[in-house]
Amino acid sequence: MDYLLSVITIAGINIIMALSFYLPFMTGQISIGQAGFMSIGAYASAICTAKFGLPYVPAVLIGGMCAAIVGFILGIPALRIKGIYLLLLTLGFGEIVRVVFINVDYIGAAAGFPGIPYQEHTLLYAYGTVLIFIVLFNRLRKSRMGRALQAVGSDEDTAEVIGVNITAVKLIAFSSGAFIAGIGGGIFAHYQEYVEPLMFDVMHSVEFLVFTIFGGIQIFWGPIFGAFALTLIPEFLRFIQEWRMELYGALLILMMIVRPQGFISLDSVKTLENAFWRLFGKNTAAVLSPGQTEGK
Amino acid sequence: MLSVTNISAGYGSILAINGVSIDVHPGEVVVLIGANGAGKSTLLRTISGAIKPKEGQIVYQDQKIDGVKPHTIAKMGVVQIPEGRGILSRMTVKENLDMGAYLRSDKNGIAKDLHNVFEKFPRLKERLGQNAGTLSGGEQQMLAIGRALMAKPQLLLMDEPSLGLAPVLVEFIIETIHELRVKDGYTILLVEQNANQALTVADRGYVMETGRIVLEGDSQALRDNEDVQKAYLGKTGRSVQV
Repeated sequence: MDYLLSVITIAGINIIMALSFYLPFMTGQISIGQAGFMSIGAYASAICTAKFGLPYVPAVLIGGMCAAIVGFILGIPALRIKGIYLLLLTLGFGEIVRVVFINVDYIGAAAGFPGIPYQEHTLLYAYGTVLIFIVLFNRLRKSRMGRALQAVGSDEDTAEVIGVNITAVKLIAFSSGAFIAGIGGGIFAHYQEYVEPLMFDVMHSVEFLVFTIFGGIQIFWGPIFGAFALTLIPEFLRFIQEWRMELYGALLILMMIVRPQGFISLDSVKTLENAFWRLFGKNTAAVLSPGQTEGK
Repeated sequence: MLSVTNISAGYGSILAINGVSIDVHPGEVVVLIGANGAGKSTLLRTISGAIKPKEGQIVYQDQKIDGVKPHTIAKMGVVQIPEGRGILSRMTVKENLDMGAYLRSDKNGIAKDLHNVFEKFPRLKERLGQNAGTLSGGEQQMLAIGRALMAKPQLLLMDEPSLGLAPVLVEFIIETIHELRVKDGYTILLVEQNANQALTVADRGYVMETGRIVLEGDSQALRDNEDVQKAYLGKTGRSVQV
């Protein structure tokens, strides 16, 4: 039972991390530096609690803020580049952060940072955070800002001539993604009681990407589902544990062939929403499925 | 309304337009014609702010707009319909139209304009919930125009609206432009390769060649000009697709 709970807790943290990848991804920015932001949040919050005795919640929030500030600074040069170059920049960033942490004695350098106060209710905090993000992402989806994110992700040049300030939108998305990663890092640190730079290497960033691509890129439920499923499946297939990354690879290839939009698509969410409202007797007019032509 | 003076702009160190000057007055339809690579689109993109000019000045409604960011220029009422339509293909028709009104907050005005767009293009109303990427070429062009109208433009910049469309649709689009001008009083700067059709709806035109304006005049004069006839209108008066 304890084991199962710990797996589910880690899945919750992975969901937060997948969402941190997804937010900048919505504007077309692919970052594989999310583990770097995670480590900033982990170390910053750990310093707050272990060294300065701050309570858990403000410490985790400070961790998120620190990651967001670094994300903002990194976001400015990152805005000018796209695609593979942005990927390389964020990859480099993640590694730089790791190397810096390896060399700072104050936080234990390569030996790691021990003695972080344990948060026994991590499960609740992790899923509470996920719940908050679900509400926020859902509101974002229907908001003007959400449309702007989508438009920038769809076609930057067009978004710009429509009047979207793409610089601001991309920067907000990038640093908000970093903030979410920092929160995930803070929760992670106080669950593990110990962090070391090796925990945040680039393979973890790649995992967050895999969660998202597997779960679905059209709507935020995709990364949530992807992170949850891909954390749990290997745990229940213990014998395959060593082959986990191979399994990821195979799954991704399979997904790209069979279902390139990811496991959960926009259509499946709309269908579910319609079914939900039909079941509970609310007017379905508010939730249009594709093909229906009536306006709101 | 719009006055472009001696503009040079391009990509990297290459100048795509070199010392170009044009004027657009309120209520006019002005067409830029010329072959591929003449610099028509570059000029349009420079006006909308997507490209920063290297030299020269652009004044719109008494304000200098060269070097101003595209979203700010859009806010001032200059709305561009990009070449290739610039449809947000992963969003629905309705979301595309909503995005057109991105900078507005007058709910009643937006609803009224949406109604007008549907009146102009009933097809869009039928396809409201559909992904814009699945529309046909003609429908996408209607959507692009519709979305631009949702922004309540004061100056419409249209980049090759007839590109890649069947002749019957080209006629429909040209007809629409005519209507926008006569019925709705829009001011339009139009880029077209389809010179013959474009000159039938435009008041004036500029002919561009290798980054410069080589000829200007009112539409009738351009249509009567022998060089223009030879280069852009063809013998039979049909347009030449270069």
